[in-house]
Amino acid sequence: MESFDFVIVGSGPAGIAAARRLQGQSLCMIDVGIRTQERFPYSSLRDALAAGDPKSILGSKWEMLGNLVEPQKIHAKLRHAAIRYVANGTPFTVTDKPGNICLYAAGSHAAGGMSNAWGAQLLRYNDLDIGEAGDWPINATALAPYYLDLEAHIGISGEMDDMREFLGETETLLPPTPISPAAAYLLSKYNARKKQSLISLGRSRLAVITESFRGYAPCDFGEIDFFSTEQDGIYTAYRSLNELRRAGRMEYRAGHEVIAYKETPDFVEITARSIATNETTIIRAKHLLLGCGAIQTARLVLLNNNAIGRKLPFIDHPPTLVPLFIPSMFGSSMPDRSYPVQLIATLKQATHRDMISIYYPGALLFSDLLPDIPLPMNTALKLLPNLLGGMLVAQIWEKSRPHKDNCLQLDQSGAIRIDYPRREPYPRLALLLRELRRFGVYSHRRLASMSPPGWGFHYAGCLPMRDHPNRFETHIDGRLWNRMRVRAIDGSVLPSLPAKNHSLTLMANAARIANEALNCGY
Amino acid sequence: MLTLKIREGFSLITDRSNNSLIEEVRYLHLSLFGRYPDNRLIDSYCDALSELDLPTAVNQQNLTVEKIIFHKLDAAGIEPWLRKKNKYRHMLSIKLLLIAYLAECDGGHTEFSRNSTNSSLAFFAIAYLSSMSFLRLTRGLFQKLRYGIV
Repeated sequence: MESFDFVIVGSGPAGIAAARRLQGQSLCMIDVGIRTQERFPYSSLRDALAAGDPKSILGSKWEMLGNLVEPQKIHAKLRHAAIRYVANGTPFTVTDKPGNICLYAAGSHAAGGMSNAWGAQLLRYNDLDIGEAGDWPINATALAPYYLDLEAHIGISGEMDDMREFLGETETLLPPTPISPAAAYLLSKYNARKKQSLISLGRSRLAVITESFRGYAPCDFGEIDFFSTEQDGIYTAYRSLNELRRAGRMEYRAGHEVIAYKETPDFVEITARSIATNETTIIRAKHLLLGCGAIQTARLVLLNNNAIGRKLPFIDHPPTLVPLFIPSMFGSSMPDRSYPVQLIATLKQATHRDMISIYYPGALLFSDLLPDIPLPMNTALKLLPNLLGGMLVAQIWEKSRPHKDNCLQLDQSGAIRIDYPRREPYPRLALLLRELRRFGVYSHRRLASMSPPGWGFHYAGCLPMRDHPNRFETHIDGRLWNRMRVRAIDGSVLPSLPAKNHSLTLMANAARIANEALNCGY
Repeated sequence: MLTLKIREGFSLITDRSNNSLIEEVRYLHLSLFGRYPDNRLIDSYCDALSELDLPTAVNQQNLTVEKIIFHKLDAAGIEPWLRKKNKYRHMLSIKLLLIAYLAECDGGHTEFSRNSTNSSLAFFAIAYLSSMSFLRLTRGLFQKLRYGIV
């Protein structure tokens, strides 16, 4: 029987952050670890559109048209064949009201996990964020050294502007990504009139390198975010996985899924199933770190405790989407190369640190937008080139806390079922739109739409960390309530979600927990 | 004969001749772009329809599309009145949207140009197109009611 000091399950952001902390130890990562054979053959969307090759864009089996019949069948970012593999693991459903499944989805079996499809905003939480969200047994200071280490490893672009209080002080930012003329217009208007404003606005922090960094080429901003998971310059956990493997800093056991674990006083026995042969093997470890993603880690823990039907809390971050129009920019050119995330804003209210990400929709096809324009498609098609140069999209996130009705459980067949009936409309939309009007940006509350539960992809809260955990909760050092050697390290342990994207924080927290395991003395 | 794939759980089969599909794509393309499609787009349309998982249970909606083509009605003007907020799109929306996707990706439709328009004229263009939209919507509603389109 093989034996390691540490076994990590999953190569997503959490698993990789923990592995970096434990590299060089006796370390094994067990992962399904698939990659796609599909390749998007163009480096930019414009080149692809000009080539006149519909199947390269829409897929050899028209996969990009997966939403043609059912608009919400698959998330827009997971349609293309070269991206679909990211979410083809264990399936789950999300129900927003009794009998209505609003999302059929699946966990990630991809090497690098869901980071292959993330928006790459990597943001720190501070004590105000954590305090507003509530129930955290640690403060931001506990995460600070891990944030620093990860940022230095990943390479974060951004700017020390008015968002520094919201995003945190740092001296290591790479130059910011290029922005569209519409976003540049909004930023200039804000800078001219910001004294009277109730919002702060600036550049986001992105895991997108804008100049050569640690030997990696900068991003060329080809706007192929909906078509490929492999773009130069955009960090995913897969990059770090490759680094660790190349340097021989850990054993990587791909093609395996952990199906059970059993703890003894001296070690943990981990049962892994080969995806190819279905054979099981047992690996022994002093410490087991579960980083399969909030939902899949919760499933594994429930199965291992024979807790079919047990309800665990579940938190998502479904955003509110609002189109923004800048009439004075109508008809202006769309940028040749850009990155979807343009700007970030927040309200200057200490109790409502909402995050407003402002996107440019250039990475979408025009046809993706047609059903949302309440006009005949032929005139909508003629309107779009005039509108898009002056159009942005605000994606609004607010804090998300556990609610007794929003829960995850396994049904009798072991399938994951998530109920998420509690979702309130964003209450400060009128205030936000009024403030944006000061800068020549217009929209209307009726144009806002709420993403269905589950579509936020910021999952958390199933096994929340506590000072004194009860059943199906975790200790501050990540240990399951009833275990000494088994720890959850991913989003499942975050007790609530501040408005900000939680990717960097779950990585920092995973590194912190790995450090606890390393120094626990047993 | 081209046989459309039928999703499991849906009962009705629709066998359509290539000719009627070609007539369909030609008419719907004309409604969207004011001209007939080239053969490549027609082939892509037939291929995509045979590959996609279409809910043919909505046979009534297929008949609606056929009725629109038979009576030479304003497909683009009628479609917004048939747009659905529920789980499945109307078959007319599906087919128009499919043609839009194929046209956008074939490199030959200048309607999808991402280059700048004349910004000083953009306002006038938007105002003109909005008023044209109003007229098309009005005509579409009239035709929908007159021909009992659902």
